[in-house]
Amino acid sequence: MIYWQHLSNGRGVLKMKVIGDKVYMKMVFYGTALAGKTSALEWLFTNAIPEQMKVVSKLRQLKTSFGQTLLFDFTPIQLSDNIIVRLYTATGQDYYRGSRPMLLKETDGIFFVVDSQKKELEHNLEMVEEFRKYREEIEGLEEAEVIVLYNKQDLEEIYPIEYLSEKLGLGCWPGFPTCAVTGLNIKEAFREMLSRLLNKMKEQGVLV
Amino acid sequence: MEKIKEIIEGIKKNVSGVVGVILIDSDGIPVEMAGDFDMPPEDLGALLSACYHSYSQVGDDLGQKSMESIIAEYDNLKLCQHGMPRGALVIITEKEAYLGMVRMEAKRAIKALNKVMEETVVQREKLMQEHKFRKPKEGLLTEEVKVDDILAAFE
Repeated sequence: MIYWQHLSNGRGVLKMKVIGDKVYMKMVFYGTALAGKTSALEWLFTNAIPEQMKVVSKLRQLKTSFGQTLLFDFTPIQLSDNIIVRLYTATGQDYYRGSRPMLLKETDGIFFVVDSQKKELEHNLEMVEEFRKYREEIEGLEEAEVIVLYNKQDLEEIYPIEYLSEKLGLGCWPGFPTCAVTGLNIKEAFREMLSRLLNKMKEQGVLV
Repeated sequence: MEKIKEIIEGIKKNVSGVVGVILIDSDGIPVEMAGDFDMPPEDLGALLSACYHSYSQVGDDLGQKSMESIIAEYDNLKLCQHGMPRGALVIITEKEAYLGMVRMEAKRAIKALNKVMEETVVQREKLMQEHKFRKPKEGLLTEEVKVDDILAAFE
C-alpha cells in the first residue's frame, strides 16, 4: 500500500496507490482451484462493466496449457478520469501458489470465492487458513476490504451459506450467494466492494 | 519527474535499435515511458510485473538475493527487464540491437535513476511523490467525481 495524505483537508491518511493524478485500486478474486474466480471476473467484464469504463477489449490471462489460471487474469477499468480499478484473479492451483502472496500485495479489496460444493470443504478450509496467514504476513492486507462469494449455489450437493460461513469462519465479512456462470449476485457483490472503497475515499474528503 | 523522463528518453537516443523504454513500479504501473507500444501501457506493465516477480521468486527460491535482469528474445524484438529498488526498467529493442550496449546503458541509467532518487532525503521524497507516492493536487476529484454517479453505473 502507498500512504498519502489528502492535503486539502488534512483529515488523516488514506491508503490507496496514487501515481500522478490517478488513484489506482486493486481488487483480487481469491479462492480454491476451480471455485469460479475467473468465471466471475469474465462474467463481470462481459456483462457488468460499462463499455466506456473498459480500458482494454478483453481480459489479460496467463493460463496453463490446460486452461487454468497460471499466474493471474487481469483487467483494468477506468471509473472516472482519475480512478482506475485493477481487477485480478489469483491462481487457485496450488502448484503455482508461490505467486499468490505477490498478487495479494497492495490489494484494496478481496473477493474470497468459496466453492460451495460439499466435496470442496477441505480445500476451502485450507484456502481460508492460507488467507489468514497472508493477512498476518503481508503488510496492509488486513485492512483490505473482503467480500465472500459463496459460489456454485446453483448446483446440487452444496452447503448453505450459513453453514459455510460458520464452518469456514468467514462470517465477519459480507457474503453473497453467487453463480459465476449465470452472474447471480456477481454485479451486486462488485457494487458492494466499490461502494466500500469509494466511501473510504469519500470519508477522507477525496470524493464527494 | 522531468529528470526521470530525460533519463528514460536518453536510453532511446543513446542506443541504436531501442524502440521503447518503460519504467514500471513494483506492481507494474507505468511510471514513465518513451516510445510507442502496441498495447495499453497498464496492460504491458502488469505482464512485465508478472514476469519480473515470477523470475524474482525463482531466484529467491534458489537462494539468490536479487535479480539483475531478464532478457527475452522474440522473432523481431528483444526485451530486457532490469531490476531496480522500487520497480523495473524495461528496454525493448529491435532484434539486431546489441545486448551488451543495452546492458551498459541500462546499468548507467539505473545508476542515474537511483542517484536521482537517493541523492538527498528531500529529493528522494520529492521524487517519490512525483512517481509512486505523489500526493494528488489539492482538491483532486472533489468537484469532478461523485460516488453515487459511479455506483449508478452498476445498478
